[in-house]
Amino acid sequence: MKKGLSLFIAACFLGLWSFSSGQEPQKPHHFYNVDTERKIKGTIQEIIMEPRYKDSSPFLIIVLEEKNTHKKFIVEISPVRFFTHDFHKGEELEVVGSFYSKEGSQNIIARQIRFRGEIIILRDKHGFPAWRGGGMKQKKRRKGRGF
Amino acid sequence: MRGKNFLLFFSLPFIGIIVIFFVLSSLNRAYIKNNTEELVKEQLQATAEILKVNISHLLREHYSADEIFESYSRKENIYYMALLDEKKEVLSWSSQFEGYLPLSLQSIRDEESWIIDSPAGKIFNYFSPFSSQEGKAYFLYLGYSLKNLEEMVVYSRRNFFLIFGLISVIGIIFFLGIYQLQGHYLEKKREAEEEKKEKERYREISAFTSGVGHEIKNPLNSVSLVFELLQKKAPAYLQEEVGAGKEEIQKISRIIDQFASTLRPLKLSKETFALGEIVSSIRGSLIKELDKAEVEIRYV
Repeated sequence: MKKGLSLFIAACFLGLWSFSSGQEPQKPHHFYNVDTERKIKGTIQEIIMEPRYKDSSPFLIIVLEEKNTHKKFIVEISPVRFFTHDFHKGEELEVVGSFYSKEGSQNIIARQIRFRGEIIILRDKHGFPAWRGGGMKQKKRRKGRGF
Repeated sequence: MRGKNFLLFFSLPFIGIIVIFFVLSSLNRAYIKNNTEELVKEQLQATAEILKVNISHLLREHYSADEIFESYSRKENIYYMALLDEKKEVLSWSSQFEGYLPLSLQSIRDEESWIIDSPAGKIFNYFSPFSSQEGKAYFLYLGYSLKNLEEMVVYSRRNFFLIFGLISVIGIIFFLGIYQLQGHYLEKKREAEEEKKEKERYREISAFTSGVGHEIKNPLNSVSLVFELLQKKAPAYLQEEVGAGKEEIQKISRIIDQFASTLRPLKLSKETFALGEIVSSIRGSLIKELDKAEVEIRYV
């Protein structure tokens, strides 16, 4: 046990000092900030696929127009390969996610979405991406239950 | 009775041993786990201190926060890290998982450490302040993987269940043995008690029969005396019948004696005797028969 612990600590130290080859770092974009979580509901205006994080496959991005305010939000869903549903322009979408503004645009990193009555969980409550472990969870919407 | 014995000599002790082992082992594992976590926490905090000195040095060298993080974020055990200014605004961050930086600034203190669960395992979070060499205040937020610690915990848990299984098997064998021994002892005890009762009954019968024999023999003696008197005074033609009657009386008396001696409890006593004398005496009595043609003596 002690030996294992020592190895673990040594690995930490070595890890810090060695600049060995490993996976390339992500270019910082914006993180999932749990403090700025909000919910919006709107209609899909545009579907985009673009890279978001370094060395990550392209992400599915939705431009969503909020119903009441007609404000447009850029919603980051997940890597395209991970998402198995088809979005269509004009369809309704409800999103819970972390909000941030960037260069005048309103952005949301989605944690869970409600689409065609189905709740799709994309990240856990701390923002850990479901495609990196845990898997995408889907729940059928129940009548009278909140999102 | 059998069910009660099974409960007392197998079920209860076996369950007791298993419960004691389980409780002690769980307490021990919890103690080791807590202490190890504490130790790891201290070591990681010390590592963070070294990291802060390095970052402070690199900042003085006019490296940008992004450049500094680019090199550190390659490390396998650091899942994420962030550099914050004195107002706790994130200046730069990096993460091995897309957009994952589980930092809530709403209620965080200036220095805090905590552990969170994630699908990638437990993560040790450490948020602490530091100053650059120019005196500017910063905060460093780190998320270390506790995968190795978890592997140790899993290993310990697996060993626990292996030992638990082994002890269960040994316990079953041991207490079944105890239960069998106890059953055997009870069986013997029951047999001994039955034997004792039988002897007691036999003794009672013996006493009763010797009483009966005594009661029969008293009138028989009187009858025998009468026959003797008759033999003396009876005419010659009746002598034979009187003699036969007397013999019958004696026969009854012998039968009663034999019966009484048979029912008398047998008392065994250890004695030393000369076997040679007995053999030669038997031989002496048999040797008279040797003259007859059809008699042959064999020593087997």
